Amino acid sequence: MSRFNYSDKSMSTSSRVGRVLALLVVLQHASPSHAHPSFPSSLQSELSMPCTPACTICHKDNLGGFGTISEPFGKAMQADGLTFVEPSLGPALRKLEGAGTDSDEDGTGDVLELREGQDPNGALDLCGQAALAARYGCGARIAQSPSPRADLGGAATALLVALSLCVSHRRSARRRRLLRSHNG
Amino acid sequence: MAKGSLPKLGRALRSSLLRVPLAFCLVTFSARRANAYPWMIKHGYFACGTCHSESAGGELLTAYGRVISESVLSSHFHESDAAPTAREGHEFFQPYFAAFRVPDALLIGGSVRFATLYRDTPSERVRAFPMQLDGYGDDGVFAWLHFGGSLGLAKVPVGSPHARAAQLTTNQGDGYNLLSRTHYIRYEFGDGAHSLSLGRLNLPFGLRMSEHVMWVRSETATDRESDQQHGLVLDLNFDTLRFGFMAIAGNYQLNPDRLRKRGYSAYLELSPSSGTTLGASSLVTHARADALAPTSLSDTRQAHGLFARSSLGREFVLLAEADLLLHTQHEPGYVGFADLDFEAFRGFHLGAIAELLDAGHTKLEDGAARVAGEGKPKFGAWLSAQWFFVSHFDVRLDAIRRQNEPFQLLGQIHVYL
Repeated sequence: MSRFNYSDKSMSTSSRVGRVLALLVVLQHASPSHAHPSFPSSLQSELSMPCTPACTICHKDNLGGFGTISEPFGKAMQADGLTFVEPSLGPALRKLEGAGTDSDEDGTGDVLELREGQDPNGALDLCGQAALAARYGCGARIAQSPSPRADLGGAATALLVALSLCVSHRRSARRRRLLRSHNG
Repeated sequence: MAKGSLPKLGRALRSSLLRVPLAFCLVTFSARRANAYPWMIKHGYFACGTCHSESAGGELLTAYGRVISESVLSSHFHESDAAPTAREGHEFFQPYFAAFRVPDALLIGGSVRFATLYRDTPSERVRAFPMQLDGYGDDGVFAWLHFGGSLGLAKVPVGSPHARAAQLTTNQGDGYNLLSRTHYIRYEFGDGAHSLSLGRLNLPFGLRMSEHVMWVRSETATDRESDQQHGLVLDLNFDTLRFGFMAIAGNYQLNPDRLRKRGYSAYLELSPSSGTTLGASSLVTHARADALAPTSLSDTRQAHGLFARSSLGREFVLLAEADLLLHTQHEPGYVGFADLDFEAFRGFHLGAIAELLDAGHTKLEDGAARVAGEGKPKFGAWLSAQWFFVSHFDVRLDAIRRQNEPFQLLGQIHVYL
């Protein structure tokens, strides 16, 4: 037996579900939808690099994440203002370039090395490393959607359709049970 | 095999090949609960295979599992509602597909999860995104042979640790990709209590939970999100003993081959008394290069540990796991987890979770400082509330505080299709 008996005081299940439905709609439109910062591709775009660097250009491994910046270039970028968010990338790079920072002290500045596809942390060919990087999937590609809003809108629509079908099923199931109990 | 059974098997297989793709097409219109909750131990369910198509839990429910889900998991607001029967569970599809009868041996389902994440950072604090869009299917050809798997969609940024490893399509950027987290052929024996499966499957290790970012799952690379591997899995289930062993052949949805991990993963769980279990896990994998940091160095990873589940009275369940971490490129480390779950009323759960991690100091950098989580312990704490407010739906709110990381609030709404 449930420890809470809502039968006398609660609104109907369908009304409750309807309010949840409305809340879902509000949530999906109230929360701003921002793309997660994608530093490797942003770095490539910012400096017109010949390839997308791996996360290990700054982080200890390709998982990235908070508190895992271990490479000299990454630490230099942090010192010049790089934070968790993508808009901090451009200003940090410009500051690094203006100061002529050379993390591996090989005589070539970090930003110039990146533009040439070289690793600012050492003597490695970044684009050669990129060829060794993990590639995922078996085959084929999916065309990109027009906008992030469309992504969320489509998924929210699917959710709402599923919700309405569930409500309809519960009503029909309840009607069948009542009919069976009435017919004895 | 008996005479005449080969043509019969052929017809059954062809029928199955038609049914399985149709099952995936039907996924968005089906609605039955599917997830793995280790705190179900308090209802007397030691073996997850009673309710789930997979004996270690998660994903698809059996017909019995649907009944239990309806009667035990979600809040009931009208006591006059009688619990549905297993027959009604199969009749669910009839109002929508009257011309098509879903066979009893066909299980289909899905999971849609929306998340809103707040992080205490200087800017871009709030992010909303679809966390999971998956469909599942399992079709039994005879009583002893099953085909099944999952199909889903995901869109994650470059470098994300999530979803990538389960990709079928090859978009390496931040566009959409089709995923298959699991796909398998399964042979069942011992009246269905035991099974031998071949395909891409969840690793048998530790507590099977839905929180894939928990350190015990992420650091051992054994979550249900995308850490599955291709291989051969043996599952044995007895009254007070469960055993799972996987011979890992590697993740063939990851290239090049030098990054694929091969080895084994296994667990043994005993139930010395009703409502209490004790288990041990072991995992060893080797790859010619580490996919997380590809260099010329080979990479061997090990995780060995203990876990436990205990029902403390009617409302409380304690879950705990601790693992030793051994990695070629790090000194020995460890990870731990404890979760106290309180069901305030049926369907509403409160949880207090503590985490501990030291992945081991790196061997690759001379003189590198020891930091929290790498050479020094790192602590984390969660406060969670999860409400299965109506059948097929649940909402969840997590407040997460991890050392040296911004405070996070994660809200989720989840519908089980």
